[in-house]
Amino acid sequence: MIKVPELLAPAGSLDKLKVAVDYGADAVYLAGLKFGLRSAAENFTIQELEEGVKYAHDRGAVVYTVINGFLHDQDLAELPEFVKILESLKIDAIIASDLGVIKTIKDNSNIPIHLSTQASCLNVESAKFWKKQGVERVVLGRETSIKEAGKIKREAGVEVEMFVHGSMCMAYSGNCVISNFTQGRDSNRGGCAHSCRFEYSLKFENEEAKKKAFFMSSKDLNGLAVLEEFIKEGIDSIKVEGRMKSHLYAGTISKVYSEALKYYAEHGNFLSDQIYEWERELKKVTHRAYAASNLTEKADASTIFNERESDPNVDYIMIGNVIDTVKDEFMLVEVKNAFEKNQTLELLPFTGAAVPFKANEITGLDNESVDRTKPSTLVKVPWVEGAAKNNILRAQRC
Amino acid sequence: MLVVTYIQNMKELGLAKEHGVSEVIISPKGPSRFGTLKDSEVNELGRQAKEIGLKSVLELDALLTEQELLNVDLKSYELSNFDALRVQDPGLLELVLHKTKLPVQLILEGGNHNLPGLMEWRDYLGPRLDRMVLSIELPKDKLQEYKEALSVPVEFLVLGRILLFYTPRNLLSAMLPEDDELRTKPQITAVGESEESPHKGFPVLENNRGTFMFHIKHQFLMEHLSELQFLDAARVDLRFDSDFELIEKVKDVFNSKMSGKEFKEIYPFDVIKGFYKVNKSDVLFKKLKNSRIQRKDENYIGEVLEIKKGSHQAIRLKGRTGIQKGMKLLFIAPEGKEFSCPVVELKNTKLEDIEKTTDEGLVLMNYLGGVWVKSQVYIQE
Repeated sequence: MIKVPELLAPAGSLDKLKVAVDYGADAVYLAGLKFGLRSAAENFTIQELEEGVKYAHDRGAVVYTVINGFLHDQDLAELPEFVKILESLKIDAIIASDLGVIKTIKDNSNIPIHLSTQASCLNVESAKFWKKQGVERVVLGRETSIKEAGKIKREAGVEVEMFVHGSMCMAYSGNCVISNFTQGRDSNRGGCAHSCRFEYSLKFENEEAKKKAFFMSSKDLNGLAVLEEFIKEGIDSIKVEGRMKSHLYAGTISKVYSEALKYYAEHGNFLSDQIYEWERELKKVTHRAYAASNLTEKADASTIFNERESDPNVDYIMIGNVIDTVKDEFMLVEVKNAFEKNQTLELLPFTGAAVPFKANEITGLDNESVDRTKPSTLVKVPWVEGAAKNNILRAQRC
Repeated sequence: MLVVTYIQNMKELGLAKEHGVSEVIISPKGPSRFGTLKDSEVNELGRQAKEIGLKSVLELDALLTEQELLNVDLKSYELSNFDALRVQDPGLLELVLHKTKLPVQLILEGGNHNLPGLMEWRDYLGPRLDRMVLSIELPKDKLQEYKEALSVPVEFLVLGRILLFYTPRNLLSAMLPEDDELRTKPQITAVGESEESPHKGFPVLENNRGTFMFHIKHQFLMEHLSELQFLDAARVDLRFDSDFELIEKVKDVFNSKMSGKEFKEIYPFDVIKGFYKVNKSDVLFKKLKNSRIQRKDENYIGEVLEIKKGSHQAIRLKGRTGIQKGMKLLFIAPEGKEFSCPVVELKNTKLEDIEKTTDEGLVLMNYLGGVWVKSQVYIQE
């Protein structure tokens, strides 16, 4: 088997952690209720952390906790206790970006430390510096190319992790404080208002008229087409952005990349028609236009997402997730989006192609027939071969 | 307190000297964010500064990818003419520490908002540290506390543009037609108005290092200089659209010949104090999500997944405790209302009556009006 990078998926909640792990992620990253960069995400209580670690470890996956805010003194006061709890829970690493946080982790635990992309580590010398501070892995800034990342790994002697998929900060990570000064929300402590995604009227120096543009919005990263480059450069971990995103996203992205990596590990190439299927799958989750950004060459004008974000922007929606199955009888589904009797749905198994099936019989928990489901209800639909708890159901948008 | 400012030409160097500026920062076009000077011009300014007895600092403050860092040739600068080097990128810091003997001014304006972290930086640089440039997100009380605890020179921006956003991508030229003459200029500027913000007029600049957006107002602490005497250096930034001749008035304020208030009246930009008084940029976080649907660990049972009026509520068990008949449960609805209810009926998903559950799975219990989907369920003590 050829060594391939670890696939690191986002886990915005305990449910999403299970989805990511079940669909093939080797590792997940998550945040406790404090200290991360997604204050609006559900995040994890201590008990959820414990459950999440157990769930992942039982399935051979590892768990990293982000403490990657630029913390202030008052935030640090509560950190030692949290770090000790994380160590007792057997968290596999902490992702940090601030020297004060790194020192606090070192002083209170032996948990391995990964440097967050927030620190914008972009070169060999910088990686060497962070290694001296006790960092075992650097999550490189998104301005780094895969080739540069390989060089950093070889010459600095640290593990390297790179983003492979998801939304991109247009700014150097950690170098945008628009929210701080315009909204009173510290973007580097979890309060980013996504000001870069809004439309701006630009008045250039030589013009009277204004141009309207989403000039600070970046296209989403998609590294599937250059996955082989990550492997050849020996990148240790490839990371998917998106702790705020849906179960469908967590499941689909984990499934696609894990299947692709497994294929390469077994065959040593991507010479398979499967690559087209993986590409199609990535287009079935909510995304902005995709780009490879800086992975192979410097991101140019074509990487700007100069349009208003629209929803729906994909043909597929999540119908629900499978809560339970009774073989040959039914799947119990938590409905997220309404569907109708006889509508064609797709079951997304943990491995293998999506399985289309017709919901020719829908009943409620009380076994009463249902013609059209409603969100936030539980229904039974016909059992599909291979169905398992935590599988995702999706359907083409009507 | 030293007065530190940027200079970009001989005239500004002369004015800086004439008006008693303590130190000048000189930025080359390559590895500094806003530098416009060729290496030869940088060297000439450094040489002249030395000749007239003015401390000069070579600023290399860009963030650099590996290839960009390899392109930095410190030998192209006559370092003997400079008193210190000023860096932000840790990689460039390492290069400077290993390839030169000059003191280092370390820019810590991006984050670095806690004392343990600052102490780590200080200890790492040891005697090579000339000065720490601290973040303008630190309020004055913290600045003072840090200055005392760190016992090393610190610098703070007291006047000038506030940088909000820094990317290596070229965002302005991308919005212009291919034949627009602006695209041939070394710098492109524009003013941006955001649809989301009541603020209008964000200056935007694109140069060889990328694109930068600034606050519509300038940092202005000229009325507070007497409170900031503990600082070792106060930075004044008169680049961009400012008139460098203002340096005379700036020095008048520092020398108490003019009040900060009077200076504000002639200063040609809108101003703010930023986070000088207090930084409460985390207080809104609790409003970013509904804490009522946030699970609390103690006595937690699970979450309501379905309500069927008059029939049942389905609870997904997520906690460490199962449910049994006779137990009293507390439901906290997403809008905050609390309901309590004893477990009278309990069924599994096959609708079979059960006495108790394990701690996993789905269970149906007797209907309770008012409870919504996503209500959190706890054992009531």
